[in-house]
Amino acid sequence: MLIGSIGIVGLLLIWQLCSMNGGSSNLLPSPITVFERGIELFANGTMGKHIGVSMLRVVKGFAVAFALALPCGLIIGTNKTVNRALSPLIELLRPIPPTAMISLSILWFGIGEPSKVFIIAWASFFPMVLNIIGGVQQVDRIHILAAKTLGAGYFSIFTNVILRSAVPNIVIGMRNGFSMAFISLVAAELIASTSGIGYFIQDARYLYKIVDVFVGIIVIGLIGFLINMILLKAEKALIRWK
Amino acid sequence: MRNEFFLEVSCLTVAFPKVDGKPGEMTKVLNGLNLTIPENQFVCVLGPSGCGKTTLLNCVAGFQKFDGDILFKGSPICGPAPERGVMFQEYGLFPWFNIQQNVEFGPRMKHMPRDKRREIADTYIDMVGLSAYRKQYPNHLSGGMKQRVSLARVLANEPEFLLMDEPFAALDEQTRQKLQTELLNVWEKNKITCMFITHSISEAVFLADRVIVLMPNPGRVALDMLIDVPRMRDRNDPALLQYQEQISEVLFSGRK
Repeated sequence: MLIGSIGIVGLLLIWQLCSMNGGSSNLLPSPITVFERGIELFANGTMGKHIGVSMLRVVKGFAVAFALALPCGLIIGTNKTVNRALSPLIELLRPIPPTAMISLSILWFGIGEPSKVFIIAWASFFPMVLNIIGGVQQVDRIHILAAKTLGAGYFSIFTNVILRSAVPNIVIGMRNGFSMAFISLVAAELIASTSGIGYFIQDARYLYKIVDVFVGIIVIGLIGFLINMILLKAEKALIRWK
Repeated sequence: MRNEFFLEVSCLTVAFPKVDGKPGEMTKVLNGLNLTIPENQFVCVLGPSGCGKTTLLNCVAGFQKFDGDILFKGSPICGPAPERGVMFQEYGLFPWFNIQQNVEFGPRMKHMPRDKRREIADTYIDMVGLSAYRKQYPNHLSGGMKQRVSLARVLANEPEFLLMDEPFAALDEQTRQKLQTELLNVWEKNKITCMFITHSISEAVFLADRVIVLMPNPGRVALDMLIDVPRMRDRNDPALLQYQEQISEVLFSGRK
């Protein structure tokens, strides 16, 4: 815990020193100024409102991606023919960044919520599906043979062996997917938004409120950090047997 | 009566693609092997690496495709089945299930009521002396304990034929000898028919009613011998040592 905070404290010190010496206070406000502004934005409810909207978008996009990635990953991972047929498609689509999909998502879904959810879902789908495929493919053959000799049929093998052995990879995929969902949030909120942390940062930039830009960025970082901590705890609880 | 033999292996041939060979080039691991095993016999199959002993077990377990016939109680084997339980050298325990859940797995697959399967699991967990570890996960157990769980799991499924693929090979000598004795204690209670694969001569003569020695290139029966010494056996019994010598002779003369 103490060692883990060295980097953060170090960065804050360097930031403070830079903001005091040489750097323009307009472009690099001090961490204390940013902290005070952050408190103010939380106190007057502005930041809470933006966080709520953004979190709802992230959760929606993530849920859509997971609902698609889980069955896709399980089918592609267990069926060699489907795997051969779809793997090149996944490899083709995977490198396309969410920002490149903005125009298409506006054309398809308009400028409302669905286009934002689509961008977030796009970003989080691929790390999840790839991890699920990997998890299913890594199932130890001896576990399948053992299950067969103990009388398990295909469905029982799928639920008791394949799915359970893939759980660690599924959870890792979910963690990576959530990170990607968060990373793509700002991109998604570039689409005609009137709320959300991404919108808040964009708006602050247009109005040259540098301190607010910093607050928005730090809030995104903090939320991502907290969610990662929660998912790590969940991962530990889910995979007690490891 | 077709049922005269519990297991009847006729003209068993298994070939695998040759390592570094041309496409389609095959190596015969077993070539026309014939073997019968009567009910309640404890058979050890012994031989050097590559003689096809594990392949033979895999065929009988239903894991491996083969040419020839294998009849189990008069019916051809065409895949794995709970009547033929398998103990693996690598344990094969499900790491995501605790010991109780692992041992209950077979009864659960038979849709046995929860209370009944718990009772069965408890009986076999007690039998292998792991009552205190019911809620532990396999990764938290030693190799010897894992293999005990594996034995409890396979017995809880009440197989008619127990196939064991070098189950004690990865264990230290002390644990191995302890588990051999425990296995015989369990076996004495129900006299389940066993095929035990090993490459240890002393293990084979200590455990078996009958030792079958396979020799490689391709795998064939080089010796088929009954061990006529009553159990529990003394490892230093001169009769056992004599059997060991006879087997060694066949193994080493075959290697020349």
